[in-house]
Amino acid sequence: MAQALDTWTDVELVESAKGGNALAFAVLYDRHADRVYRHIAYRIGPKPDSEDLLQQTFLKAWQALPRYRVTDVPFVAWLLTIAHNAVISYFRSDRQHQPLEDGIGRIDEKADTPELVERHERQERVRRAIRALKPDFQQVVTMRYLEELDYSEIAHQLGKNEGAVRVTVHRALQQLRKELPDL
Amino acid sequence: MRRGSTDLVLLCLDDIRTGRRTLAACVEQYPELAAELRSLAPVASELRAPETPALDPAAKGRVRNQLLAAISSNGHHPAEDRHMLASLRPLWWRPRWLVAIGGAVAALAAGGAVVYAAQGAPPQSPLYPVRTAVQVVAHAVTPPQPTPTALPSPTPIPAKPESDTVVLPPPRVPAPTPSVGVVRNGEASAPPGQQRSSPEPDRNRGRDRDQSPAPTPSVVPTRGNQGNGPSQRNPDPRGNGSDNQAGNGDQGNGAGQGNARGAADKPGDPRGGGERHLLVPVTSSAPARGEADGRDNDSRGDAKDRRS
Repeated sequence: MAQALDTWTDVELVESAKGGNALAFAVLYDRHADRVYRHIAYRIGPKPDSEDLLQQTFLKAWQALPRYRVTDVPFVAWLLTIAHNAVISYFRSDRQHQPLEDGIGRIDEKADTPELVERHERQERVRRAIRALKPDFQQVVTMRYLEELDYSEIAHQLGKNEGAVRVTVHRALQQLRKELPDL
Repeated sequence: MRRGSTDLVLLCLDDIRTGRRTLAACVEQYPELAAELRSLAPVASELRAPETPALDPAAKGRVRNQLLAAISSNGHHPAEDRHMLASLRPLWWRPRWLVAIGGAVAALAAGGAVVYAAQGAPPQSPLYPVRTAVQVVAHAVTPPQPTPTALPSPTPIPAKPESDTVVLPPPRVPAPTPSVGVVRNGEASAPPGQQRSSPEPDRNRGRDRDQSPAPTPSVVPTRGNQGNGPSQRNPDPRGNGSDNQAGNGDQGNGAGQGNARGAADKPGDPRGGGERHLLVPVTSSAPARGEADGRDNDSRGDAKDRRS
């Protein structure tokens, strides 16, 4: 059954899941969990909370599935919106949940080459700068440059027009430039 | 910055990130954007997805199992939610044809209730216009009453006042159908095509209005009209001038009352009343034959006078 579902498109799986097929929803999870997790982990860091937020994201998606309309946005973009809201709620729910200072790929200075260490340090600075952005800037930068979504997909997901999304991305990059003056 | 320059900057940054173009090529192509491109290109180049952490397969499987367990236990089933939402939908969410039928039925019921309530509405009542409108419509849609036929026996009805007699003029052309009009509540109406062919009925009608409601008349065939067939000719040479007093099957009182003016035929008149009926009020006793004849003669005389 699961193997047969693997050949289904997202639209078919969503429709089946709307009818109560949990296996179809599990296949959707298998397809998009990595991307959603990357979106979450880039924001809060690679820690157990990211896995919890991943589970929360898919559970909320399951509960809100009847309200999802296939023609509006791609299913993964809809998932990323839920993940974005879960991250915001995560930071708001408890002030102790501050973005971690430790980097995504913790640097093993003994094992890595100097070039690799320098690259890791640079990425960590970029990640901190992204976390310092306004939430809407964080969202569009993450969706555009980490999730590799098209501007049209982002616009659909955020309910904006494509031009407004481009302007927001441009301003977010300018803000990042200010956060990273020596890059 | 203008929208066009924003699009160009983002396009160049995407090309630089993916390696399709270099920064120098973009600056050369868009020198007015050189400062912006040189500033943002390093930032955009550092934003790369592969550098983000990947989900451990073991963690992915663990989260999957937890998710399926939560789905099966928390009761939030999409289909159930959908059915619940459907049951909570208001009426206007139902199919439109169902709403249309329901609205039509409700409108009919409301209209019927108003009409029913207006049946006995007095003139001061706000429903009185409804009552009059219903009466007008009823008159318009009611087909002409059938030709009154002679009753098998006179009905013992109280005598009717003379003023209730309504006589309509005979048709100017022989009609194959009996010219029997209808009088209701003192209002005379002839069959279609015969109304107000003469001012005489109007005068009678005007008189009738002044009278109290007339007793129910009945149509009694005259002596020469015993066959009652609409096409029967009156063989009576005396004419029975009131035979052709145009119909008035309901309340015509005319024959023999002397006010069958202008409507009487001469004896043997081809327009004659073989097709007419004599309308007389049925009293407790049927009018005597001779009396009726005499009155017929009188009425015939009146008719002659009026023609002259």
